[in-house]
Amino acid sequence: MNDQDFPNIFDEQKDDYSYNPIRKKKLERSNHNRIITGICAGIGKYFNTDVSVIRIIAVLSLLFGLWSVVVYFILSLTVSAELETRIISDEEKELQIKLNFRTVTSGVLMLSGIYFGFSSFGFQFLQFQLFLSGGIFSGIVLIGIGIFLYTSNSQTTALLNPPSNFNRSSTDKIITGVCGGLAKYLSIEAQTLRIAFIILTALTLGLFSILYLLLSVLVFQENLKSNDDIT
Amino acid sequence: MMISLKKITGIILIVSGLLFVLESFPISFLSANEIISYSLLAFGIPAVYISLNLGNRALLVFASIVFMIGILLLIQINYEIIDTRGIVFVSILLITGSISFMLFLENTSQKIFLLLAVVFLLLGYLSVTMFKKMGLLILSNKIANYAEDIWPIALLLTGLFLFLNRKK
Repeated sequence: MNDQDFPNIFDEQKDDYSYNPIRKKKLERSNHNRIITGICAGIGKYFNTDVSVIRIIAVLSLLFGLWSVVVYFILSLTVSAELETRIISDEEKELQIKLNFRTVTSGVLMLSGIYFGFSSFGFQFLQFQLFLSGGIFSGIVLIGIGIFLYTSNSQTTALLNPPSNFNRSSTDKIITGVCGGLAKYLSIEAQTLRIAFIILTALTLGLFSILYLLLSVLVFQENLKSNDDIT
Repeated sequence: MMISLKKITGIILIVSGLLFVLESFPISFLSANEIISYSLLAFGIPAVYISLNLGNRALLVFASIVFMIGILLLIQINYEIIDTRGIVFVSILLITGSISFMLFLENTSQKIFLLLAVVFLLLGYLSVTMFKKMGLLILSNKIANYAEDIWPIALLLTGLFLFLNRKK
């Protein structure tokens, strides 16, 4: 008789807290989905909500001052990391990095939009709570973050296969594929680069559109056929 | 052994944090803006070095921007600049030129980045000398006046758009 004839239903439900009365639902820092310490991913898992929403709330909470940073680091120190280590594929990891990058970028954009919006309506009091106001509190928070970064054991990693040539993308393109190609060359997220490009075009009275045209003419389009042959 | 950028950032934050604490007392010799600008410069230099060693172009671009903003802040603090909006226009051009040049240095086979660097640095220089005479900066200021009102909404909407399309 094979083991597969009688699958162990208890093993399958190991991670599902609602079916397991013995194991309590516990707030843990995530090991596999983290940007700084994995607290947001842990909270998302605990409340069974989208992690991106928690991250956006965390970024927007900066509007109320550096208190949220302090709370974040207190939680990081008090909440233990999850014991289970989930092995994720490189593809999954890449997608996760892309999603996290988009989430943080959108959070920063929304935060700046709200901040400048409030400032233009005369709510200057926010400035005194934010980082630029300086002071003892900001200094202590910075020292705390500094100590945390200094003691964390991680190296800046080299990219595995950065493309050697800058070509216009033939798959990730809206007009001529310049942004898609440049994003691939720089190993960054194309959507964010496009938004940055639009903002810079507006700020330089359209001079960046000349850059775009220049690159569209001078940079070759990537040859997918030859890439397939290589792989 | 390669020094970790996180450790360098940690040291910079500890030092700038201490300076921020000192800034609250009368013994301080640096203003808050000066601390920020020196911190950006202190981060930019090793970050460029590390990114060039690792071939991490995204980090190279980021570090170059940080370094240039540090210089810009330092100039703004120490010199009286009348046209503060004009700086934004010139800075974007000069920073883009510098980034392009750094990307060329990282991979010298990509001559396109050298061309871009020359074009943008030249445009940056011209924007200081010629564009002002042509009245382009006045036009830029006029547009900026209108843009200032819709800027927060544009940022907010862009952020929302990016967030809602994050999984695409």
